[in-house]
Order: sequence, then structure tokens, then C-alpha cells
Amino acid sequence: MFILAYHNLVRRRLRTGLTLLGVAAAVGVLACLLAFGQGYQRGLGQELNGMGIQMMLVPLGCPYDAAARVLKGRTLDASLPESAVNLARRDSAVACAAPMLMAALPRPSEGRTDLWVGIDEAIRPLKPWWRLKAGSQWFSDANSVILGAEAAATEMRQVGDTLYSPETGRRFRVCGILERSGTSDDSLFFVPLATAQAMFHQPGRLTAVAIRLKDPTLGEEAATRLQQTPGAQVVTLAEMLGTFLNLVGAVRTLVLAIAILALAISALSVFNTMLSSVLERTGELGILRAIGASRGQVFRLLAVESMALTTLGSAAGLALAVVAGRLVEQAIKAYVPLAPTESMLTLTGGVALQCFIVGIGVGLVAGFYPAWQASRLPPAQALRAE
Amino acid sequence: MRTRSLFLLGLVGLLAAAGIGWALLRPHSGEDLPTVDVSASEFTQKDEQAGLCPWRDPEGDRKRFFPASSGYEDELAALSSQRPELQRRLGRPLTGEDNAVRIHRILAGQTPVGAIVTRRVRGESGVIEMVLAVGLDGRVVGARLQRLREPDSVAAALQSPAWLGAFRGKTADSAWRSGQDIPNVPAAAHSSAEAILDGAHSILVMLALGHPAPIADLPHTH
Repeated sequence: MFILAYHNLVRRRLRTGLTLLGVAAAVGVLACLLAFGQGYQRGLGQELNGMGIQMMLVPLGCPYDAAARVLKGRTLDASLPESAVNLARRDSAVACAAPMLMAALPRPSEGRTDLWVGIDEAIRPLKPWWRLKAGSQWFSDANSVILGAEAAATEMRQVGDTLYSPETGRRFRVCGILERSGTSDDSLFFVPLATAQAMFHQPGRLTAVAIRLKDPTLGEEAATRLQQTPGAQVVTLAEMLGTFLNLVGAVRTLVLAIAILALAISALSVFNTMLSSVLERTGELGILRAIGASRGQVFRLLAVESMALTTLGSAAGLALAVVAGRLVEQAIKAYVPLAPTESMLTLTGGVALQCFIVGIGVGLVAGFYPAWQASRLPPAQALRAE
Repeated sequence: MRTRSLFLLGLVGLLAAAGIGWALLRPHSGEDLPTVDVSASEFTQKDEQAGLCPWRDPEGDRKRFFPASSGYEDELAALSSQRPELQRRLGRPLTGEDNAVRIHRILAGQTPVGAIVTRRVRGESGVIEMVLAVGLDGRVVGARLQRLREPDSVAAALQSPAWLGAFRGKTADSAWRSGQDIPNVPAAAHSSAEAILDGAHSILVMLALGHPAPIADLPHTH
């Protein structure tokens, strides 16, 4: 039966090939979509957890915009009083709170902006991925600067070199260079908090307070208390994660609709292929019945053909997802806010199995009617048609 | 016949679905999170990622050094196969900046009139990016510092017409000694000046090695 089904499929190679292509495209899109959904959620969760920051105090305004700017190492227009750090540190749920002052020095004629960040020792537990290059050390005086890996490469600086800030007239000694981390920290210039406040004429002001909790489950209560800080608002990373996932969810729904459309079209394609095949082979099926093939055997023959089409198509679709998935990921990353630096495409065995089952299901549904019709053909009528 | 039409219809349907998908998913700038865009131009970023010095003011430099020019075209000359010769002529160990040179060939209509090359050097207080314009005969036409972090007094000395103007007419074989062949600079500017002189000399040697033939004889390729 399998050999017969194989011969029937290769008899019309172009038609079979196009049908396979349709199924493969639909299954490939579905596999990429499911793999991307899982990978994005996992990657974003890991990235936010790895930051060590579980909550942020930011100036009043759009909290998500403020938090996104802080995470991306960009500046905020408003600022907080330095007392916000002490208020946060006094909270029983807070393990550590680190003040940050960020400022940008645009250099339009050079097509770039220097991003300076004032920090103190408290930031270190909140930046667990920081690794200083050999020979580096923490700030030893007010004129020390720690450079991100990219900033050091751009300025051709090494530990011990001088770095001058023409706009503020300050000369720094490079005391440390961070290893490349793939985060926005790579392109920043870190200086002691007091130095940054003096450089940018912001004495006693901050742009954010990064917070880590003793127990993340206490986040909601702590957020309610810290929300009382004058001029400040709290953004938890769980909220940010939820917001970003909601944004991605909307895109995902759209893509899912397209995947369903593609699956429906591929099902119609299989249906059309099988029905055409039945019509073309009416006489042949009649002979089969005349020489003793039962209705069930004819039904199974057509069902096997349909299943073979969709099984091969699904396998090709999964292979397509593996090969072309990275390209799709690059395209999708461009539209996703706070895309994780790690790969977002997680094509697990579970995802592959799901897609395979859907593909075979499409074959079953699309092949049922043609197979049933073929099995119902009376042998005499079929032979007369021939 | 009917079967073939149905297949064509299916194919058109698939293409239409793909088109709808593309239209729905193409980027809408307004939906991005509102953050300060501090990035440089795409060309500048690509060059910096590749470890090359970007050319930040192509039109300004072209008109400044070659007023009769009408455009330019780029060429990347890889010099990795000539490292021993390059090291011998430069007289110092090679750095990552010495692997390749991007030549901006300046054109008047279709005729080359010279070349502009940019290079990053290690200044005392930060990176210094220089622009060197070279004529068809391999002589310096002019020089400019497009980026530097030096204190005002040092920057003024390094950007003075008297100092940069002394580069004019120099070739890869000229002497480039500070205080003898090129005017001296204040002590505070000395190390940055040495870096710039080495950078300018390196550009000329790399151009000579990358293009043994006169620049005008080169094929017009990107």
C-alpha cells in the first residue's frame, strides 16, 4: 500500500511538490512562532533576573519609559532627591539600594553622545555580570573612571590612561575597564556619584535608585511603601516583564493568525491535490475495487497518500524553521522592545512535536473527504467512467 | 487544466498571505519605546564595528580639500599579506589599525583627483580621528582632526593651520620628525602630536603599499 501511495504521489511531481511546499511553509512559520514565544519569555526573564535589579525608583512620569531608559543606559529629564536612596534602604524588604545619576554629553559634530553614569559601591551587587579586566580596580579617587568595553575600545584607552572630558573640563584616570557584557553598560563611562553630580551641576540629585529585595515575593508590599517617596514612583521588573510580554503577545497573535491562515491554505491545497487525484484515478480505483480491494483498503490508500504528503511537508517545515529560523529571529528582534541578547528561538522537542502533530492533523482532515469519496465509488460506475 | 488552475490559485493565495504578513509586521517607528537616540549614522556605526575609523563629514572634507570634485567612491584595501613590508617601512610593531585602509577616492566627474583617508590614533586624553587628503602624486593635500578629546590648549596647538599645514606636500618617503620636519608643539601636546604624525605617515605608507600604481590609474570599483 505504501509503495502504491508513493507511486501515486510521484506521478504528479509538480503538484505534489507545490503541495509539500505549502505544508512546509505553514509548519515552518508555526514552528518559528512557537519557538520564538518560548525563547523570548525565557530569555527576557533570564536577562531581567540576571540584572540583579528587581525594582527601580524613578522620577514621576511614564514609569515604563523611565525604566527602559535606565536599563538601556539613557538619560532621564527629571531627577530624584538623593534622600530617596536612604528611604529605600530603610525599608525592611530592601536588601540593597544603589543611587544612579545619568547624563548625556552630545557631540553632534562627531555623531556621538558620551553617556556618563554616577554610581557608588552599592551598585556592585546589582550588576552581577560585571567583570573588570586585568589590572583594573574600583574608584580610588574622585577623578577615576571605569569604562565599558566598547567605550574603552572607541577611545583607545587602557587602564592607567588619561581620559579628558572637554565639555566639563575634567581629566580622569582610567582605573578600570569592564569585560564585554553585551549590555548597554559596554558603552558607558562610570564615575563616582559625587563626581557626576558635580560635573552635571546636580548636587544631591539622582536619576534612579536601583533596588534588590531580600525576598522577591515581598515586592508588592515594598512597592506600595516606596511609592510614598516624594517625586518618585516605583517600577518593578515583574511589571516591566509583563508589559513587554503583553506587547509581544499582540504581535504573536497577529503572527498566529497568519500561521493559521497559512495552515488553512495548505489544508485546502492538500484537499485539492487529493480530490484531483481521486478524480483522475476513478477508473484505476474502480479496477482496484473490481479485483477485490475493500472500501476500507481504498480509504486507507488515499489516507496514506494524504498523510505522507503532510508528514513530509511537516518534516521539511521543521527543517526550514531550523535553517531559516535565525533569519526570522533577526527580523523579529528589530521590532521587539528590550530584546534579549541571547537567542530567542528555542526550537525544543516539544515545539517540534506540536508542529508535527498539527501538520499531520491537517493531512488527516484534508484527506478525509477525498478518501471517503474514493471508497464510496461503485466499481461498475468507476469502470464505466474509465 | 482545472487542476492546474486550482494549484495556481493556491499558490497566489500563499503569496497573498505572505504579503499580508509582511505588511502587518513591517516596522512602525512610532511604536518603539521613546528613548533618546544617541547612535551615529549607519555608515559610521558599521565602520566603527569593523574597527575602522569613520569619515564623519564627507561632503565638507571633499569640498575643503578638493573644491573641484563632484563625488567620491570607496575602496577597502586589505594589507594583511604585506605586513612584513609594512612593518619595515613604518619601523614599529603593527597594530589593529594597520590591517586595512579604507580609501575614499575623490572624483571630478568620472576622473579621480585624489583620495581621502581617515585614521584613529591614540591621543594623550582620548582617541584622535584624523582626515588626510592625498593627491594623485601621493603628496598630502591637507589634513584635519575630525575628533579629539584634548584640553583646549593642546587641541588649539594640534589644530593650528601652522602645524597641520606643515603636512602639505609630504609623501610616504618624507621625514616626519617633530621639531625638525614639522613645527614643534607645546610639551603638553607632544605625545598626541607624535601619534598624529605616526598616523599620517602610516596612511601614506599604507596607500603606497595598497596602491603601488598612481591612484588615477585604478579601476573605478567599489
